[in-house]
Amino acid sequence: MAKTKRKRKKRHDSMVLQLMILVAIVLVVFEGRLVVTMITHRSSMRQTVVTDGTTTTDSSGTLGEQPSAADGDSTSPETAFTSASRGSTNHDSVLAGLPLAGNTGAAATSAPQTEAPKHDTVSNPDSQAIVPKTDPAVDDSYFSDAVFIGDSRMQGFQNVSGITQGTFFTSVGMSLPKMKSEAIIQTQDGMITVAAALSGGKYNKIYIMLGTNDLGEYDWDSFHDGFVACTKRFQEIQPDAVFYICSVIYVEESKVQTGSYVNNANVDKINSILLQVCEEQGYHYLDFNEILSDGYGSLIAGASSDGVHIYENYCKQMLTYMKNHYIPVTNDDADASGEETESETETETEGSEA
Amino acid sequence: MKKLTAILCTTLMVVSLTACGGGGNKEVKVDAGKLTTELLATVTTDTLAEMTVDPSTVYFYEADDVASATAYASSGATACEVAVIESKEASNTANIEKQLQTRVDNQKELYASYNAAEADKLGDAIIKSAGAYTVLCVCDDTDKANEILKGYGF
Repeated sequence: MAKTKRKRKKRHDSMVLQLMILVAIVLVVFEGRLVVTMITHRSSMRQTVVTDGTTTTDSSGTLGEQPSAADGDSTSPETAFTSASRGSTNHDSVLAGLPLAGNTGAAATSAPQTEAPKHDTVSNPDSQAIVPKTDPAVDDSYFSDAVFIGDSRMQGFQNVSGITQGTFFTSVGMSLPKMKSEAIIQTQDGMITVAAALSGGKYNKIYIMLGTNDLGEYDWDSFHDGFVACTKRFQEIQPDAVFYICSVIYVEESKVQTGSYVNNANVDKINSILLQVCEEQGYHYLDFNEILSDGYGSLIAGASSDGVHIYENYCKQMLTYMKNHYIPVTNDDADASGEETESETETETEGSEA
Repeated sequence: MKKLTAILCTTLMVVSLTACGGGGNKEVKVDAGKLTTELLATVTTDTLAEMTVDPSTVYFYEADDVASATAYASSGATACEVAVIESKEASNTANIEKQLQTRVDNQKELYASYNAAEADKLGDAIIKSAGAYTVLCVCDDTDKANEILKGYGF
């Protein structure tokens, strides 16, 4: 009996040992592959160390060097990646209907270049609400106390226009109902409404680009009233801010796939409402179609891949347009703003002391 | 003899498993500019441009944790974006990954009712870290992007 037990125990020990050997072999094989991969990778890394865009071989074979900027910028490693294209705003003068040379997309060829524009981009060209060209052009610091609210077109402007200052509350698919009440703005603390986001700071300029996602969604009177109600709410939150209402940019209808209601007739209609709101409420209307129209009431051909979202070069033109179309701050405004800032600082100081 | 073999096997296993657990702290040095350029080639339906606003205002990571960052985004036509972020310490990458994931989740939610195809693309978003580097890649060819990242040690 005892012999049988010993035999079983011996067999059991032997099985455990064999199992351990098997596991060890598997691990050795697995780790061996890892080692091979590691050696191969180190070898390839040695070949891909790039300095000023030229591939060289790192003879040291170490992987501990600072990465170099691919564009050959001589800035420090800490800033090399982020500074590559900053400050590269395109200041080329632009004319309505004349496409930029060398734009990212297909070259525009169909836009008329010799005839006078046949289509007014605004319903009332004499409107005092339309922001005229103003000299001198401002620089990016003008936008340091500005907030930009808008849909994917505004988000595209944020992403690729070259703007370096300002706060952006943008969201793809933003429509009037969404801007009014839905939590669509991404923040560090999660998604919040535009109004809640606006409440988080002090802004002296508010740019709103909205309407593309509202084209044909409901009746125009509702849009007018809803837009006024929404901007009035924003005014309550930021009573000292200058309101710039951006025109809805024309679309290239043949490329639009989001719905037939996204057409230029509707763009003209919604823009006439936006201009009307500006006249009624004392807001300022930025007519981007002055530079982005082909002269016939459509987006410049080839300015966009999907007919709606314009390429980088055109976003840069928008930024240039903004810098040339603004409401100068009068001395009275500046004094009032200064007094308020002083007063706010005092209050904050008192608050922190308490 | 058997005891000795058992001890050896156990030691070997412990050493092997320890090596497996060390992946997150591996020494990796990445040419971020070159990696970004390669990843941009995996975006075939759009032409991305470099973000000129501070990427920390878009991704909401702690700017103080980051040594450098480069991000490329769309003009709005697609949800594609590529970001390569180098942390000051490798230990910061977990938090950066978390912020990038939040960004992707939020974008996916917003795109769901706006452009379903782009929402799907966000569903395949790649967020990976190696050493002190973290990458976000929302692109058209995720297999290719993963292959590129593997070559860089991700």
